[in-house]
Order: sequence, then structure tokens, then C-alpha cells
Amino acid sequence: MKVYSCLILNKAGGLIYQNNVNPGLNSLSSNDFLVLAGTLHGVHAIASKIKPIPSQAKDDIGVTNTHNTNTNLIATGKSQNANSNQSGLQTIETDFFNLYIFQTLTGLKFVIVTSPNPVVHNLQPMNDFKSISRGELQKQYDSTVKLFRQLYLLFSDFVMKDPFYSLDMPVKSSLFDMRVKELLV
Amino acid sequence: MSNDNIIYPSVHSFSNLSLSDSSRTGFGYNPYKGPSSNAITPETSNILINKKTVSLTPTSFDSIYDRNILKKVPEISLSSFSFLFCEIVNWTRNNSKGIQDLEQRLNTLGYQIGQRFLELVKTRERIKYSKREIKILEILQFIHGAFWKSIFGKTANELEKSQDIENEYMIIDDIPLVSKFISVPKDYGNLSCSAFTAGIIEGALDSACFPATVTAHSVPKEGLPLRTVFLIKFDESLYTRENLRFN
Amino acid sequence: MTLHSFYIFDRHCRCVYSREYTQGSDGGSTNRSNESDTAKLMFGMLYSLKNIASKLGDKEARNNLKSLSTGKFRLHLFETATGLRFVIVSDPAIDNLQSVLWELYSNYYVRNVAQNALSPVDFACDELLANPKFVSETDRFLSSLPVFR
Repeated sequence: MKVYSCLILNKAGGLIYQNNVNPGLNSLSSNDFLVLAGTLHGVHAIASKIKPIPSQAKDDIGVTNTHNTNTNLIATGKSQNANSNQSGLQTIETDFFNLYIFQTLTGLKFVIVTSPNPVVHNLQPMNDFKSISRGELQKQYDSTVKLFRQLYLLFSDFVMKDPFYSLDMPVKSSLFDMRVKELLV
Repeated sequence: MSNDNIIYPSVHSFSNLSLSDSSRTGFGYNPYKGPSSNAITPETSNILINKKTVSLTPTSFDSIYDRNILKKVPEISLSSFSFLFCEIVNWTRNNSKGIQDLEQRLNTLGYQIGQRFLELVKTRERIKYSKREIKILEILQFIHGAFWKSIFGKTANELEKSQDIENEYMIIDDIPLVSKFISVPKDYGNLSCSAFTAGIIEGALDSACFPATVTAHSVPKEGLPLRTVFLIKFDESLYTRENLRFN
Repeated sequence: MTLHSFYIFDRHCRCVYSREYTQGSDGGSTNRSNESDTAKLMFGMLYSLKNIASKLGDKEARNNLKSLSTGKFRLHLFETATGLRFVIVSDPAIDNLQSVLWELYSNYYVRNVAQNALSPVDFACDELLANPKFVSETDRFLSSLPVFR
């Protein structure tokens, strides 16, 4: 798996950091990236509201869950899982890349665009549907979760502890830039 | 309008908090209520006192003043220090008129720490191992070694004498602890937040009767973007003293 | 239950076929939620993400959106050359249903709808895909899959 690009969105959906670490994606203008960030933010919110599972359409998917998370957080002061992205958009899979989203409890979103799955999709009719692959995406998702933890760590170290950074504004820290490149290249 | 039709912003978790969500101890930040939730009021301060936190007031029995001063202090979280230092820099920056002024103010803040810390380090070294350094080289080695280690947990990387100027020395730290996470924006020129550390050195040297001016300069090297040189410029009078005493 | 529902959107962005599978004895509903918020939001989401995919992807070749997932479900998408979109909603653990979607299109849709002279191919604004043979055959096919339950 190769990481093509890494984006960070603030809680309002604004792009605050973008780094094309490896070539592989179409080169976009910075304005295009802003639009892309806004779209992802919106789609993420919509995805958490969709209830396509008929049997569960009545109860509020995800809502009770985050509620519990927050009550736990307030009561114990400890977060069980850094990723609060339980009901929103998590992964997108296309022919040329995969995209993963990680959300922190404060609403910050980390987005990683990676190379596509190694699975070969042949569109020939298959006779044996038992061989439908399982778990390949999940495997890759697990390895990106590790990357996200590292990224989050770097962000809280080199951005949040930088007195010259103002909250929700674009990240310009050169140290953070360097560390991200070290991590992802 | 039913609840289902509303599309919340993605920080939907917060909008689902209610006012009744409060911590078991009755104190703590509630994102739904905002800053008022952990404001210190007569009621909340009672809760806080009962939580048996280490109090700074000398009335309690486990304040930091009641501890044995000779004992080695436990290590301090780098994160909490970094956040504090972050706030210090921000506060100083808001008060200062320019980059020079900012560095000067950071230096002044460090100066007081250096003065006091020298005393503490010497006390902890105990009288029998400790002696008073009276030569320039000795005090520099002490600062570079023992003093640095007790503040930052490691000795500084290099100690050099300037080749051109007689009374200048350089202590070089590859990864200075105070500015480990700080990257200075381009429009701040050659500002170095290690001016704070420079102030500590200056304070220590001054109260050891080695008057000097110390400045911090960022000199990045391949692979070491934070490498900082502390330039120590001793007072001319010191050399007269050294010559009289040792020659 | 790991396959939750199956939708077909036509090139006018309308949901022409919706099939929901439930655990109960009735076996779910057919064409009940074509105008529902779920179908509309789902289409909007797929549409925006397709734009992102084609923007970020290679300029020369067409970049197909294959699937997207949340913590609760995974959407599998297959788009035909004529602009029809086949969507299956499944459990997030199921990885790849591209071949199933292709099968649904090539074997069942083409045979029962495209090659059926009495069935419309381009659906008018109040028409739905309610061909009984298509419904029963796709049901049988999907429920025979190992991932169905």
C-alpha cells in the first residue's frame, strides 16, 4: 500500500493541511482541494444520516453510540478510541485509489488517499461465487488506522504544541511537514 | 419537524449531549455547556479540593514545599510543559513590540529560573560533592553537563570556543527541549524560542558571578532542523579577574 | 443478514428499483422506498463521490467508484455504460461484490429487461422496474450467495 496524499479538515470542513506525499493522483489546484474537502465533509455528514438497513430503520443508528461515548468521556476523562468516526463515511474504493477518513472526538478529520486494493477485478461472469474475497479492504483499513494514529500523534505534537499555530487555521509548521513526509513516504 | 430529517454537522456527537450529562465527580469540561462547565465557583472549588489534588498552598501537608528538597524530583510530562510553554510564548508575543522585544522578554523569564535553579542544582549535588566553580571553563562544563542534565534530562551536545573572538563560547543542543515542537513561521525571521533557555543560562551564569550575555541562534543542520547554538559572551572584566587570579 | 438491500438508479437519477431484505418471513419489500430519503441521500452521496473519484483519478481513463463504507454498512456500486447504477448495501465486512453486480446486470437485467420487448428500457417518470421475473430471479440469485446470510 502506498500513500498518495494526506489531508486534514477542521471541524467546519475547511482544508487546513494537504500534502501530496507520493505521485499517483491527478494534480489539482489548491482551490479544487478546498472544494474536495468541503464535499467530503458534506458526504460524511450525509452518510451518518442514511439508514439503508431496513431492520434497523426505526432505531437511531450511531446516535446512541456517540451519546455513550461522550457520557463515558465526561465521566472518566478517558477516550476509549481515538477514532470517533463510527457512523460517518469511512472508506471509498475506486479503480485508481482508496480513500480513508478518520475523525477525532473534536471533529477534526484526517483523510488519507492510498493506492487501490491489490484485488484484481475481472468483470467476467464468475461461476464460483464462493470465491468472493473477504477482508482485503478490511486489512488495508486496519493498516491505515495505524497510520492515522501516528498522524494524530504528530498533529497533536507538532501543531497543537506550536505557539504560532491558531486553531482551525491552515497548518504551516515545517516540522510537521517533515514528520508527515517521514511517516508516509 | 421530526428529529430524523435534520442533518447535523458532523460533530453530531456534541449536539447529542444534553445538559444532564455531567461527570460523576461533578466537575469537568462539558463540551455542550462550554467554558462555564468547568469555571471555578465556590461550589466547584469544594469539589476540586476534595479530589485530593496536590495543592500548591503551603497549608496542606503534601504541598511541593513539604517535600524533601534533596530528593530527585519526578519527571514532568513533556506534553504539559509544551502546552505551558506554548502559552508563555503566545502571551509574551501579544505583549511584545517586535521580534527583538519578544526574544528579550523570553530571555527575562528564563533569567529568573536560571538564578533559582542554580541554587537548587547545587543543593541537590550535596555539599560534599559540590564545589564552587571559579574558572570560566569549569563553570561552562558545569552548565553544559550537570546543570543541563538536571533541567533537560540530558547533557548538551557540544561545547565550543569561538575561534575569532576571545570571550565567546558556544553550547550546542541538537534537539532543544523547549522548542522541540515549535516551528517558527517565515515572517518571524530568525526568532528562536530557545531565547528562554538562553535566559536560564544567563541567569545561572550571572548569579554564579560570571556576568555574560547569552543569545540563542537556530543553526539547522542536515537531519537536525532544530539544532540551536547558545552563544555565551562573557564580560571583559571577567578576563581581568581570571588573569589576576590564575596567572 | 449481510446483504441488506439492492437498488437500481437510472440515468435520470431516479431510483427505478428498490428491494429490501429483512429477516422476517415476508422477505422484505419491493419498490417501497424509491422515493424515500434514504434512496435520495444515497444517490446524492454516490454522485458527489463519483465527482471526487474522477477528479483525483487518472485523466485518461475513467475512474469507477466501486464501494464506500461507514461503520454500519457498505455500499457497492456498479455503473453501466448506459448510465444505470446498480447499488447493493451490505454489511461493512463484505469486501467486493463487483462480480455479483456485474452478474445482476449482464444476466438478469439484460435478459429480463433489455431483451424484453414489452418492458421499457428508459423508464418514464412514474414508471418503476416491477418485472416479476426479474424480481424473482434476482431474489433467487442473491439469496443463493454465501454472503447473503
